[in-house]
Amino acid sequence: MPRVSPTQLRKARDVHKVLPYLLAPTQGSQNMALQELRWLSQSFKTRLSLTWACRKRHSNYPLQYLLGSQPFNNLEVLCEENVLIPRWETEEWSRAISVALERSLRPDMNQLNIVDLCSGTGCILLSLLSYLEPDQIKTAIGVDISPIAIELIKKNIIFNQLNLYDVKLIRKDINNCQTPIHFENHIDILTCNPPYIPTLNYNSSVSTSVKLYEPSLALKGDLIFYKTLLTRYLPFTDSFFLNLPIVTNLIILKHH
Amino acid sequence: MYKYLSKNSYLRTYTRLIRYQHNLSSFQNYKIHPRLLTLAEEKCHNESDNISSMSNTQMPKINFVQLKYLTNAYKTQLQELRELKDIIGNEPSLADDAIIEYEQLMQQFQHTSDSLLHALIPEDTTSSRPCLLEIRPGVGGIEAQLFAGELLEMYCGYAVKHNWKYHIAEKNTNEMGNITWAVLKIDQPNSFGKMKYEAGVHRVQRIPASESKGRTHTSTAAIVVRPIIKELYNKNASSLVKLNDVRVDVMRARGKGGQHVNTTDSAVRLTHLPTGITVSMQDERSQNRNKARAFEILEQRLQEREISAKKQDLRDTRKSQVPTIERSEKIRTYNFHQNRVTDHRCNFQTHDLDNVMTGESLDKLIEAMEKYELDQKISDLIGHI
Ligand SMILES: C[S@@+](CC[C@H](N)C(=O)[O-])C[C@H]1O[C@@H](n2cnc3c(N)ncnc32)[C@H](O)[C@@H]1O
Repeated sequence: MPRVSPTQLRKARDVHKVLPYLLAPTQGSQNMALQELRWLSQSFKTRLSLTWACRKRHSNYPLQYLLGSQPFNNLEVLCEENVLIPRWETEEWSRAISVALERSLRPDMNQLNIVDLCSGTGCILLSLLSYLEPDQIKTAIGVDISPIAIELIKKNIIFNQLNLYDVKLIRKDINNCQTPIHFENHIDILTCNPPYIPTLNYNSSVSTSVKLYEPSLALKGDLIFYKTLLTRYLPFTDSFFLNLPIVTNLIILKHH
Repeated sequence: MYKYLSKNSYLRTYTRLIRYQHNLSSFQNYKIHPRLLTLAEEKCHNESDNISSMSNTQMPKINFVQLKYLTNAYKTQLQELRELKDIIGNEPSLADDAIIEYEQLMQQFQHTSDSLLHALIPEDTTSSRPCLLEIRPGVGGIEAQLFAGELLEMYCGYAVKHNWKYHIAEKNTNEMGNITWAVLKIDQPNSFGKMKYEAGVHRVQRIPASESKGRTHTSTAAIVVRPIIKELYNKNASSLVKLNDVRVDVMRARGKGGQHVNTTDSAVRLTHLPTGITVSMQDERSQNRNKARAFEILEQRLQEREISAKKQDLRDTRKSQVPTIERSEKIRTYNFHQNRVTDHRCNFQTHDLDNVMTGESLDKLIEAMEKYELDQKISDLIGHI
């Protein structure tokens, strides 16, 4: 992280008393710091609470945990500690899936079965749903190993007014269960953004804020996830969308 | 050239005379200029064989049925009013009834006359659109920036007063937190019709807080107002923006992305390659929303370029005699010392600056401009016959 110079700090202080706190987490960009200050002051209305929040932010505490949410396509996704904050790449990726889906939907099509593995906040699944009508969905399933994530997805369904959709939430370790989720049935759309940072160089590759405050359970992931996905899930589905570390673009693996 | 009747002073005197005699309201104020009436009659008359010549006049499409109806109604009502007045003046026995009838008819006549006038005047089709209002500080350094901020607040206040849906689509500030450029988007049909009068240079005269010697400074802020023709950026509509022509830069931190970092920088910059126009947007926490808004603004810019290119064409070919209000002209002065706002176009003044600045009394100025514009249009029309 670049060091913030004393001159920069002084300049920021002249603009707003708490602005210097925000320079470090924004890599010394006063413009970004001002932007964050604006967002924070919409949630933290008193001077005392604003100062507290900026101090927290100074220690690299994520902005989204402070504000409680992150916009994600159509949604405002609630964020809480112990659950990974949705990334903008994932947002674009989900939107791309929805766009692709919109193009291929036919009016006479059957209702869809959608499964999202490693759901976290539920952002991917819920974003997909938000572009569809409730009666286009047969079942939507979200799976995560973390009970905190499962609870948060429930909140997100209510918060984003998606109660009309039939969503099932399952707490499960996808690598360690006899039967995969589902399934007597066929999966129409399968999405997954698995933990993908190799355990070996985890500590050296993630940023301070991520290391200190976001759950490593959501991030550390080795080949086993891909093995599970390919062997246990791929056979059940036509369209498999996997969020990959390097090629973050949309990957569609079709198989017949 | 003489203007339509309500502006004529000799008629005012005449009006006062009638009022004095009978205490009647006068129809003279609502009479339409005889040349306009002739124009209306001609238009009705030539309705069928006039179509070819219509296209090269500035006249908008006219609803002939309505025009005919209004012209006839106007003439009959006027005639009846005259007769009634005659009775009131000359036959005292009938006067009481006639006065009642006269007053009733008078109301109808006002309405007919207004409608006829509006049917004749080219309607500005963009007036019914929602709009974008862009504010930039002009000369005067910090003072100009502060003033730009106050103008932004004034328009927000005005929007709130009228219950208009609006948001600040773009707001760029400098290190001191002062505005360097802001765009207010008003999602309200007809708002362009009101806000279009705000376009131009606004001048402020006051003693800045920082001024130790108590001298009055003069600074300016410039405002551009554009109608929103298409509501939202829409990639499949006949949009001026072709996706291939646009380079999208996201100003995310370099280096690793994805799960490794959690960046809050959601700024987006669009570069329209054919024109070199760039639009940056960073207000929203969502990159997608910033992008969508940036595209909206880009679309507006391109539209405005097209419109101004077309206008230039028109001007070149027609060498318009109509004096137009150019953007660069100073349109208004806000004098804090005298608590006065002056609109230089219509020579309107109000000593209610405080309430104008909150948006509460801005309507006074806008209404004055509406009246002024109507007068202008009417005299243009008469001049063109
Ligand atoms: C990279 S996060 C993705 C979260 C969310 N889908 C997103 O894109 O923001 C991975 C998620 O997988 C969950 N997870 C980790 N190991 C798992 C396992 N063995 N079985 C199921 N879920 C697991 C974590 O709790 C975490 O929520």
